[in-house]
Amino acid sequence: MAPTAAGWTIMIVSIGSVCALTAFCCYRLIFPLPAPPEEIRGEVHVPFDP
Amino acid sequence: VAQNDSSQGREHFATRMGVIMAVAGSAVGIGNYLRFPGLAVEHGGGAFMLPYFVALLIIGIPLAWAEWTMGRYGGMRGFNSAPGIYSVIWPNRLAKYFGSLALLIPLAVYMWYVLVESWCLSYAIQYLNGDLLTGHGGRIDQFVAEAEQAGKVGQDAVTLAYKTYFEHFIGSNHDGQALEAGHTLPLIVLVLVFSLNFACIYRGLSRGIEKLCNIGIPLLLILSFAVLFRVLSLGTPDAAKPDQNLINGLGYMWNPNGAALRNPEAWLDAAGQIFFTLGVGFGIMINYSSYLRAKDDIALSSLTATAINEFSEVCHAGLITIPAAFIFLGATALNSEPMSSTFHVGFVVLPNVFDSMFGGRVFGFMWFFMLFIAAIAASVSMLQPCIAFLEEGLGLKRRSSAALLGLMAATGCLFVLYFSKDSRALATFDFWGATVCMLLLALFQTILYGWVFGIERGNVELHRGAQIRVPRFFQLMLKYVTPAYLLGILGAYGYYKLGDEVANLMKDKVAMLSIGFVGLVLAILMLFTHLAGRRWQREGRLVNAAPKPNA
Repeated sequence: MAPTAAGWTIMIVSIGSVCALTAFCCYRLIFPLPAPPEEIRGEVHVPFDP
Repeated sequence: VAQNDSSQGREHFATRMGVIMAVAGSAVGIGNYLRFPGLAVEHGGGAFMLPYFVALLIIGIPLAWAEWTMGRYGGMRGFNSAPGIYSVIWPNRLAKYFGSLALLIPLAVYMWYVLVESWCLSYAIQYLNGDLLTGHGGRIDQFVAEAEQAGKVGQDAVTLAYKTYFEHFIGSNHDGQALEAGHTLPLIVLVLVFSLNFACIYRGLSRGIEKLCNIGIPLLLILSFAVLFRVLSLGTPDAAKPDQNLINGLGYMWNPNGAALRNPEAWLDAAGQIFFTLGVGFGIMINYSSYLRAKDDIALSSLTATAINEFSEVCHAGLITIPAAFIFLGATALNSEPMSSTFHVGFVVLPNVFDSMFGGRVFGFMWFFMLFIAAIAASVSMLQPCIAFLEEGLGLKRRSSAALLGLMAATGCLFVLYFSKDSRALATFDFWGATVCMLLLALFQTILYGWVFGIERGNVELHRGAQIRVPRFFQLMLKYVTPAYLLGILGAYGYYKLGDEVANLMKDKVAMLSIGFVGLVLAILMLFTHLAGRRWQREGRLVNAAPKPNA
């Protein structure tokens, strides 16, 4: 009843892919993507007081 | 993030992690640890992973994204319950009645699930006081003595003792047995667990469910890791049986039998497992996601909740349950056990394993306490859709809605508890109130998303505030492949299983009564939905369902 090559492969691929998905999700949660810069619409008024 | 939006009187999750934990809590349940490994063994071991992952990719992950998207969309328009959310997406007077199904499923499941939850806590307590370990003078010793009187010896006597103990414990021998003398502990624990669920729900989303899951899910993972390490360190505990070792246990669980894939039931059960394990088509995700804000991420949150669930199922349960059972009981004993029976694996096979294991008292307690935590996080989530509906549909305050829901849930729970013979009421509630209705609701939601809501709008909504990009082919899959796959499963279910189920139903009075009970609950929920629809019409909420400014 020892694992065959196919048994080891399926076990490692299944567990590995689920672990990779979980790791990716945790990584993205901890290091979120930077928010996209807000689009500036209209003229920019810079107060100028000489 | 505010816990309660006072201007709208609407609740929100306090943190993003809170919503992920709550959804993971609703998904990770007893089925992860007991049902999945048993199904895998029954359907070709490692070969079962093929239909399992296909179902995960075609049904599980896409449908979860669709539910989260529609839920947040409805929430932004002031609705937290499925009848309201469906009505916003599909402005048709029939839409809200499909929402009744999304209320029935979690409620019908809760009615028996809370009972199983109380079994887990009772077993955990009985491990602490030694009642479930042989040779400690506890109750199980009486059952071992009876088994020996019946002519069984050694391991056979112990196995029979655990089986008869469990049947006596749940009152499987005749109706009403679970309410007789000698069942004081399970009854007290049931009342305690039932009250705990309602205390959580009464405290609200953020202070109740979110807090419970924020503590419960990490604790669950810690306990699960502890049991996993114990199993992985077992090696060959009995030198006289060198074949019963960890490596061979892994082989028993994972070695593929490709021929099993030719059996359509393997594909049906894989799809069914994905439904149960992720809770898609259950009515909970759509409710939870409605509490999110417009710019909260849903793409990554949904995927994370799915990943946590899969992690506990494939990486933990896949390495714990069957290998441990193999090491102590051996292949011959396991082959003669009904491994696809969740309760048999959990309450008969595993206690047998803990009895043979060094430190079995501690690990038995940890295992059943872990199952209890998984169960309570799931059962609390089953109450929230109905509470949300009673509050927003009928305008009830939290106290009144909790009281009304408590009355309905307690009646159903007592029904299942009383008609305990062979768990017929429980099985009927599970098959008709959950399995069949979940498939129908999932199909409705897929069509609603793909063909009414629209995949273009869905794609935009899904990516609002998203932390990941979801490939566009998932949207196309939701429109064409997922409904076709679900229709195929529904058809195959009808062809392979419905006949037997209907035949069983016809010759069993309790099953007929149970169907009548579930039908009555559905009728009441549809009446409430009708009243809610009239109320929403009167208030103009369905016509002017524009996004709320501070949602």
